Amino acid sequence: MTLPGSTRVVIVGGGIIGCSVAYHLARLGWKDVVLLERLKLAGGTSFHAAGLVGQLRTSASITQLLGHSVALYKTLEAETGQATGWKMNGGLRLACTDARMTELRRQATTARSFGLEMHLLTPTEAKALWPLMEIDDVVGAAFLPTDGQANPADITQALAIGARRGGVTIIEGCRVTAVEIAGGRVAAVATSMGRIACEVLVNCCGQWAREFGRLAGVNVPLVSLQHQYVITDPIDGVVPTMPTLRDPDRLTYYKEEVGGLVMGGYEPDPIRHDPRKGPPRAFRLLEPNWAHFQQLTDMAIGRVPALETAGIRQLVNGAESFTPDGNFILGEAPELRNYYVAAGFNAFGIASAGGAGKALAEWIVGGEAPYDLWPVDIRRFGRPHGDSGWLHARTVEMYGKHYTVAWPHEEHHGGRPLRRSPLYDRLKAAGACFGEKLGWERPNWFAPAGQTPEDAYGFGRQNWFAAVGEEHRAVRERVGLFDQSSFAKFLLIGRDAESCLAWICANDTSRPPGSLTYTQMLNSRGGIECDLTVARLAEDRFYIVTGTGFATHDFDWIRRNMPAGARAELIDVTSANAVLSLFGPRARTVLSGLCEDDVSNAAFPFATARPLHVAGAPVTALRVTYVGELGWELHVPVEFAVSLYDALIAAGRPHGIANCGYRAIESLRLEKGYRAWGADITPGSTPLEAGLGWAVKLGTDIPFLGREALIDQRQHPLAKGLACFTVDDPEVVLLGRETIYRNGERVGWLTSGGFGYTVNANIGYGYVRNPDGVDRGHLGTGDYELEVATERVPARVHLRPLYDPAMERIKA
Amino acid sequence: MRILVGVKQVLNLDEEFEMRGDGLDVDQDYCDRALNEWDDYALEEALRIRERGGGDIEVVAATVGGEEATAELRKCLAKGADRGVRVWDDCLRDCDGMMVAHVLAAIVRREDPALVLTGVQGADHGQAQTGVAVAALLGWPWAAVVRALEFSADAGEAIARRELEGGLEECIRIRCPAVLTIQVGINTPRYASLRGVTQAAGRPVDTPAFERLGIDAAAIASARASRVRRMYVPQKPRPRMIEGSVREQAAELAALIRDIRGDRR
Repeated sequence: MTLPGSTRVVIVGGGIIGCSVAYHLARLGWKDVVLLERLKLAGGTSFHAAGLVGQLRTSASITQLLGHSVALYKTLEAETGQATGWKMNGGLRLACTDARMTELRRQATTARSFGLEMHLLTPTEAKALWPLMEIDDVVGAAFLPTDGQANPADITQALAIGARRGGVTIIEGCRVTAVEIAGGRVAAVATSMGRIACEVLVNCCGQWAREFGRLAGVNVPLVSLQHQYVITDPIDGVVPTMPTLRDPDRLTYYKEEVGGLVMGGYEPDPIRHDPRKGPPRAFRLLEPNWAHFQQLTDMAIGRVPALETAGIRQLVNGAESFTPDGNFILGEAPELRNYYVAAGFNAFGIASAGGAGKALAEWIVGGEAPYDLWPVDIRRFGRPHGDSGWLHARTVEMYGKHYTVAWPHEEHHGGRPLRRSPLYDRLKAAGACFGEKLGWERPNWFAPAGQTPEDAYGFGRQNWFAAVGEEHRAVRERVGLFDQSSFAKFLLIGRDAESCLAWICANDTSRPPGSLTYTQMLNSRGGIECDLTVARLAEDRFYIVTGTGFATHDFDWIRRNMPAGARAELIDVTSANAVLSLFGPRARTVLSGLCEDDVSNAAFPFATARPLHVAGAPVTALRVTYVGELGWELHVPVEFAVSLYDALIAAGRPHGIANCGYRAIESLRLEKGYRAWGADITPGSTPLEAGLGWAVKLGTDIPFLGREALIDQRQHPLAKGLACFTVDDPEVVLLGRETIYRNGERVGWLTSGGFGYTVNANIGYGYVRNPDGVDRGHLGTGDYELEVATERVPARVHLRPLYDPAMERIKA
Repeated sequence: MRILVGVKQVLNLDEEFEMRGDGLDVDQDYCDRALNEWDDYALEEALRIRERGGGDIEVVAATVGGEEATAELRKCLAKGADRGVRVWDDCLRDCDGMMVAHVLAAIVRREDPALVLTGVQGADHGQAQTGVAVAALLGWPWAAVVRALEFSADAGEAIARRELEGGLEECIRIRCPAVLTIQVGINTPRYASLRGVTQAAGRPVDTPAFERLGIDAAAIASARASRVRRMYVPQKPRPRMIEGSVREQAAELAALIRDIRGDRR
């Protein structure tokens, strides 16, 4: 077969995901697509995947994405004539401890929130579905009837057939050797069979995606790890209708195959594989490692005694790609326009491929993510993720935690500490218990004297609950000091900076220098892509502050949406400035004692930015808050940070100043009703739905990205609206994803959940959905209940902030 | 009583492969290692004799190979062999069947089994040489290409049915100790179980050096009967019609023959 000289899209990699992207592009009418496979279709990782297809994830939109896979696999065989081995035999999940059972109950509620069927079973009921297992140690089980399994190699071929019929050219035995870039965009690829010019390149190279990404300077942070499973001879009593079985407390999974079982699992000490080693070979397996697999067989035999004597046809050792947060990697690379990635599927590639291929194809065709894909978005990564040592440390940890209980507020330890604010040692000495975000060490809470600064996880109130309550009260009653140095900070400089932001921001940022604007940035559907503050430091100089974890994403969003030819430069200054946030009714007293500048409300009102000199440090002070109190974010060059911190603590001591952490921020912002991006507000929700219409300049005639969508949305009843809920019962713990019932009807789920120490109640936020429309009247009426770990509790709805709705404290 | 099964780790060629730099073998990076299929049947036959014959039969799997061949012995142990013996010396690199036979014969002398079973041939080189050579070196009776076997430890003999050309079979009675090379299809080899794998981990694999076997490297090296001069993928000739008058056809044919013979005028 000869290579065409040019095409619209080149997909590199003929595994299940490459074929799925090709298939879905064809279905969207893009026929000018060439898929290049170095060896053979499905010959890399897809062929040795175990093929379990589960659907439930902690994100609603990723659960929805996996549901798209199931919907596709149901009909793919009929459509293409290629057998796929798909069967909807359901998925069974066991619990052997009380904590695991609580996790299952919470998962069952999450499933209900997302509209997925999930039943809780007694051990005996579970055994009826899977008679071969011993249940002495089983506390309970959960059953998802719509889960299933498929034959990965066959599904790949079926997708390839569908893609070819749709007009896609698939070429095997063609190796891509280089990526040509022109004007910051993909221009062509060089291959072993010649050059193809292309507009779009899709990296679907599986465990070779990182190496292939390097060819174009794109970071695809994944690690290859060995993953083993056994395939047995037929076993008496194993029938094709048996559901797949996950036994997380024994780290193992099972599926039926030709009358026998496939059994594999996730050991805590996985072995790394270097995919660059050895010559390229299709359908390559690694040497079976029985000694290493032994730890899993011991646990499996305890569950399924028949495994002990069944003949083992094969111990399959295949390398698969895993990522540092256990989610796959999708989207357009921030480093290079028109370079898309779909890789790193963490051993749930078969379950994901159908939906992920659909999502990415829609992303490519539409130019932006079709719905909220933040949990898998390639832009969730950043600076730490380029280093293979860091990647390996964290990814191995996450592989080992594949089946451990996912605790609320759980932090991970691989590759830490890496990014430390200048205050790290000071805070550590003050008892900080750190969490990690994008490599940054951030104080979550401070242990009082006598307590160890270490999280003790559980599904009830955790050991930091009282300490965070003290921090919370300090901020409400006195003054708290937060190290927020990890904030992502950008400068947009240039004579067109103002017009760029006018186009990208939903709120009006074109106000005089010294003003500070809270704003969203919207996609063309009106969905919220960024949620940040913009301080105008000078006519041609804007300082943008956003969340730690959004550094890559928000930078990319702003840069890609700057009008072509705009004379403005976006610069990441995250590492230049530390941030000390001083909040609380006594914040002004503390600050004014350290600086000569007038920080009175008249001279330095809310929503402004001023240069100050505080304790000898040149500070850019932003009068803003995410906690609902008077205060300032003090942005200071890093070398002044320690001196400034010492001065603030000393000056604050007579006023009862307290070190405070991110868990206190969470509690404070829940009371004040501030939205968290990625949870309460996402690319799948608009400011109108989120109750943020006040922060949108629809009242002006300034055009901005997303404006048309909002104008259109305003003319129709809203399909959903964000509301605040409280639950008074102190025994209840809200974590997010709890189901919302209105007048007994399921209407949504919590996007955030936590506790407010001042209002002394559990607080949750969530969208109430109604096909006939949601307005304040609808939201504010009705009897609300929340389902928490399968139990319904009464809840009260609130449409105004629980704390300081009149903004008196902030504007004091 | 003891049965010794000679096994070999062979290389399974991938669909696409490359030759080793010296042109004498394939590049091992393109191969998966596996237990020689014929040997799997030989092992199974030994295990069945033990299971039929009661408690006091020991099955020993022996191989001539490097450290990597231990994996194959472990497979044999997982299926039920009682212990393993692996012998290796650097002089065995690129060895031929005769050299292997000399080492295997030395192992047999030390182990003193009542019966030696091997596969008919290796799946890689297919010389069908090692088993019968061991018998010759020991001066034992042998039977090759055995398709059915009845072994009686008490009578000190075996009745073997051998496969001959043309679909014929030959039934022979053979005095033991003897060497039998086993044909595929004689039984259905079992898979190891997880229990077997676990138990195998505790079973010994002995790795005696040449001195302990009473042989020396020089003797083994001098036993070499063949040497690979070149290994290559043969060019498949394309058929072609020879056309023209009879005279022209004859002339072209003669030229082709001369060319193939390498005649030079």
